[in-house]
Amino acid sequence: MADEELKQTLRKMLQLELEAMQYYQQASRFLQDEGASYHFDQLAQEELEHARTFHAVYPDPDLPELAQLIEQLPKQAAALKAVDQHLIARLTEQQALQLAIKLEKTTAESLQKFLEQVQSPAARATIEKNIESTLGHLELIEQDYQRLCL
Amino acid sequence: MSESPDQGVDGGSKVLHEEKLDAYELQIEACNNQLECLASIKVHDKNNSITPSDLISLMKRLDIVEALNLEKVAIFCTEAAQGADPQGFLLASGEDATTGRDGWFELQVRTSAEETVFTEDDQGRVDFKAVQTFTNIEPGQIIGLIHPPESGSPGKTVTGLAIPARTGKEANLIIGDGVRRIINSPELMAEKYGRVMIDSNRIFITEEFVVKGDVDLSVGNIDFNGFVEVTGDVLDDFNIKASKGVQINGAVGACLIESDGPVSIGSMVGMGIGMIRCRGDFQARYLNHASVECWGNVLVSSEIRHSIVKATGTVAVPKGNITGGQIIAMEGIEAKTVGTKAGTKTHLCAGIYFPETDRLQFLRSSIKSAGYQIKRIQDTLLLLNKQPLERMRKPLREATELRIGILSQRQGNLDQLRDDYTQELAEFAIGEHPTANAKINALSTIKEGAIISLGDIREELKLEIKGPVSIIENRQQEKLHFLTYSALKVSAQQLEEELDATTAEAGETAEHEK
Repeated sequence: MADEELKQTLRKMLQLELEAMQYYQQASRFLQDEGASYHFDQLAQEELEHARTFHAVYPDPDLPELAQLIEQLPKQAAALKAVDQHLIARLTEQQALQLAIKLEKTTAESLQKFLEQVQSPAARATIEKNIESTLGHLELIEQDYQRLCL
Repeated sequence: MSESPDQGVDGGSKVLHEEKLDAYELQIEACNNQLECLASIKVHDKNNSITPSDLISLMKRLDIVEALNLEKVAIFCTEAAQGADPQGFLLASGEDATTGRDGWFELQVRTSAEETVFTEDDQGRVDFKAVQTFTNIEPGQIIGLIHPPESGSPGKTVTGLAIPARTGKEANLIIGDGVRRIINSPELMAEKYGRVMIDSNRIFITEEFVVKGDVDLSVGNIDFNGFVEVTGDVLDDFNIKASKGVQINGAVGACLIESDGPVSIGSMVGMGIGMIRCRGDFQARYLNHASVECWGNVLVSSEIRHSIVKATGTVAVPKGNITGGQIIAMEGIEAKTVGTKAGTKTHLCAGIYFPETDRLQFLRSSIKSAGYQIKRIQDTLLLLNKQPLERMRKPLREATELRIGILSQRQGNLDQLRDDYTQELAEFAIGEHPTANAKINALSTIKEGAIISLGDIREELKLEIKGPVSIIENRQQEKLHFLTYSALKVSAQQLEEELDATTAEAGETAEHEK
């Protein structure tokens, strides 16, 4: 039987990535700035690929297909509910990237907290890898942002 | 000794045997439809009262064998011998037949009578707007089964005669409008769209769903194969979809109202996201920050404010204003007043079929957007490919590699999309629309700032125009014609032909005078 804690961890990682994907996708539809929209579309794709990675290594057949999991997401991303859509619509490319940087940092922090609660070595390794990957992703977004500021 | 069996029947009882002896007088009778056998005795000589064996023999002669209770016989004889003179003493009992279960109807779809059961999704979330408890019925759908009455168990009289079993009653169900019982089958089938109603044992299909009051959390979103009427308001973020039409007597908030038929509402304050989409005519008293897509005529009695209204027929506000927003109508626009004193931009466009122009606009903007994204991807890929991947930290390298992969794939997809849209745009042909009428009527005033689009002419009015006036396109001079008012049924084409004829006539007269 597969490590239950690892399975739970993978499910959580998968859910986080899909929710982030949905957030970027939906926010992109509101954005009026094409550059901002371009970045959010790109970030949504990257989050989907991260989710695909977690889905692929899930050890048991009790997990629905990725497409099914995407379908099961709520109609509106939870993070978007708390934000005024008109404000998002007016974000410039720079502001959009700033927002993305903030989101990635928050994700890295919550992963770090999650790591402290997990015992299973395999699960911990998964979270640690995701933290690294999130930080790599963050670095890439920061590079985009710096290029814009030049 | 005298013996007189089969004497007299009284109130369901029948004397089976009666004898008067010196020692006693005995009567045996069957009562309760021969389900009970009672004995009565008056003993004159206790020493010679009836014995159990005599009584059993007597009963045997009367064919009461199986039903005879020997214990009771013993008690009866003992009491008789003691001079107690038992009367109406139960000696034997038969078994009554039972009645079977009545026929019944098994409903196989949901009506609105059931309680709402909210279900949680994987993450424990509940959609409180998914309240609708009825099933949308389609013709041919099986809606229930009529179960026949069942037969009970047979019985026996005290003399062993069989009592036939009784069958229950037929199901008390009247088949009403839109429902048919399939021949030689217990199934009931729907014959039309709607929802099932059962009222006073009558089952029928109604094409109407009436909400007496507001559409709120107690009603939820509505999706109905029929006509929906709401006597109250529809609160923000509740949606109604009805195939046959929608009538809302009150106000509608930021909602989505869709129908294949006509839609009539009191008013809508859509906050920029409220939307009405209908395949029939649309009517309202007031629209504010709403969008309407109507495959028919739009009639608004009071005002359209800052809304986008598109119709394949006419848009008319004959007693009110159109202020701000955009109006597109294939068969003409008529309003009392257009625009405001403050010069609010109010776009009016007549004579075009909006589904085509919307598609054209979508294709153009999508091609432009795809081109922009492709350029961005190319620039980004150029930068990323220059970076020394092998010298990067692993997480950054992985993120970069992932991005390069995604961007390359996106570029391929966007190239394909742009090619498809470009081809569709190249082949796009505007259809023939014989009812198209590029004409705008203002009954009172068109204020400064109104933007008029008719055919190829697009003109922003710099001065207020007093009405009543009809505006059509002047193709020869590539400007607008402001003409004496005529109803929308007088088409722009007809007016233009009349103008051409007048101009030609004037030309001929001038030539003649020269």
